Amino acid sequence: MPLYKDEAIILRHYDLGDADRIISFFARRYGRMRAVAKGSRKLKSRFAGRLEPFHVISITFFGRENAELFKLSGAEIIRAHPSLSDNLEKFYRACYLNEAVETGLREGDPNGAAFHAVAQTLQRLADSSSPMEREWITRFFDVKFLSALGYRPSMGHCAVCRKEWPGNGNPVFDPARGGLVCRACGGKQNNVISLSSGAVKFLNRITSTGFDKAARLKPSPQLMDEISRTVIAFRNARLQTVFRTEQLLHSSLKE
Amino acid sequence: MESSQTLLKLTAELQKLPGIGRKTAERLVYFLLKSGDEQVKKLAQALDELSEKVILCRECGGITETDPCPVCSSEKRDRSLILVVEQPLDIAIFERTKNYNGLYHVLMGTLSPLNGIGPDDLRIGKLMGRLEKGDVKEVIIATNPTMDGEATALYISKKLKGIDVKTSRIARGVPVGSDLEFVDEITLMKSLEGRLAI
Repeated sequence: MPLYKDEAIILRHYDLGDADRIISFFARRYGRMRAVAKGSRKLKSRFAGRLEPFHVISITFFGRENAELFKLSGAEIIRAHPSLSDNLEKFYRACYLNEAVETGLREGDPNGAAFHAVAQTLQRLADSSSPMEREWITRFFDVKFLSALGYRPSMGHCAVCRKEWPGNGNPVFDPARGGLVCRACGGKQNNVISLSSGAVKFLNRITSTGFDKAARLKPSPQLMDEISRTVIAFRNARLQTVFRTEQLLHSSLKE
Repeated sequence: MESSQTLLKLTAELQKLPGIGRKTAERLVYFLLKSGDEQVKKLAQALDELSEKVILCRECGGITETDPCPVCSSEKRDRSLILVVEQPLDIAIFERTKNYNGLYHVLMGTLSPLNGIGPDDLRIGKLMGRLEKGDVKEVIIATNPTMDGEATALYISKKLKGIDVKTSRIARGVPVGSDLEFVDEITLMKSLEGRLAI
């Protein structure tokens, strides 16, 4: 049976039998996978403490090619983020990233760009200092993650006729059609979002900016509100799911 | 040869238990068949009694045959202490230490956003109700030291901020009899944070 070695992010684990766990992880080269970690619930297990959600680990596992469930043979922590459990908002947002991976990626589909987006965002969330900053980090992740899945929002030109922006009239974003749409292409429909020109510029920059420069972009609260509304509507239109973690995050922010 | 419907039904029921797959379920069924009438009847009676007599204590949520449970109704227990655990089974684990004399409170799980489990799905409201009586001076949170367990502990500690009660968390660190070489970085970090003067 082939042995696989990779860098992986732990998504979650389930108890199995008396002392084992099934680990769901997202590997850089192999994609989302599951493996049994024998004895990992035992106090003196070599896996103990190494397989918690959000840990970035060096993982070794084996199994038949295309197997649904592999066997874990080694795990060493590369980066842990203990601060994610010191703050409930950080914790819920980190859970949201993992839910996005489980929703957006099928098992066994490698996606290096999506892996990079999750790994970078976990680090930024762990280091973040305010709710506003965390909202910005999460929405930046959404755009990068969706782009990695092939759903990059069209911000430089009309999503329908592909004419270069600026178009006529106020800019409008159509979540269902994947970006800005000009008036001629139906930019007056009900389900579109009117954007300020500042928001258009900012969203355009997000799509072309890497994680290394993202920290330098600091949207104002008003701009952040516009960006959140637009990105969430775009994500919902593309992934067509209700995120349980997001609902819990919202109720925790209200408390 | 076709299996009997009774065997198939029992195998299917056993398979629903955690950690039991089809093969193990079949082995159990054949073991019961071989072990004779008396053994099967004893097992059936024990299962019957489990569903008839065993209940959850309305106070702590622990497994009991009397309500409230012997721990909650005991005069000898320290009623100023409540130890918060995830599952009813955790009570037995702490009782085995013979070193804790307070009361318990079972949450029936932990916060688990990926499984859609939020604070409203746990017995946190019931805990707050117990604290309102004013007898409790300290709440010890003993959820598992997993990411979900830590988040649950954090949530409860925040809820208890406005109440005049001391909140503590069980210590995390190096297991007795282990070798530092094999302890993970997070556990070592926590053991340094929680170090004690000797």
